[in-house]
Amino acid sequence: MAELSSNQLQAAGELEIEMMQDLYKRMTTACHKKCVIPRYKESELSKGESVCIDRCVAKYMEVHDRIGKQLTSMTLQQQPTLQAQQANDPSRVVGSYQ
Amino acid sequence: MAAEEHIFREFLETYNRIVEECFNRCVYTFNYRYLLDNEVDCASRCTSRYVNYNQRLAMNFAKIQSKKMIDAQEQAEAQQDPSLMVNTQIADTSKPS
Repeated sequence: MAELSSNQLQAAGELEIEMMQDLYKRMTTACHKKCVIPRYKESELSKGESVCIDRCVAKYMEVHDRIGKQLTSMTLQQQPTLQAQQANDPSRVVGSYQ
Repeated sequence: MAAEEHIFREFLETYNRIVEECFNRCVYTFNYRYLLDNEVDCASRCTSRYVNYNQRLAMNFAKIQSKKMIDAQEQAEAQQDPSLMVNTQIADTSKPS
């Protein structure tokens, strides 16, 4: 692991906060769409909606973790291929499509 | 270093977008707190396909952009040296001096 300077650590921390905010915003929209029924006879959440929201948050975070692991492994897998491509022809578009 | 950070930031934004899209498309039941097996499979296939989609989009974009640049370069060269204007037709809007 490369050592990060304090500036880089701070930038990484700020980036992480920003991404968590983005994640939160998207999760809010997604779970609202999935769980809150557009029927506004009363202002309170129904029990079904409440349970749905709890489960929606849990599932969203689980999807987030799983996709994160998958993307990391995909990126690590592609690293040698990307480096070889870049060594051969730097002007080529990065990424392989077959 | 700023370029690397830019690339990393873009990667993270794409990551969040993938999570949202694949969640919306794949997770459909909230009867249980945990993900169903088919939801998990759907999410992983959705991720791979989104990454392929991104790569293909980038390839097409780069191709069209480079073609535009080459065309613009040829036009610029032809305007500087009219003898190079063999096949390219350029609308000449310059006024006579």
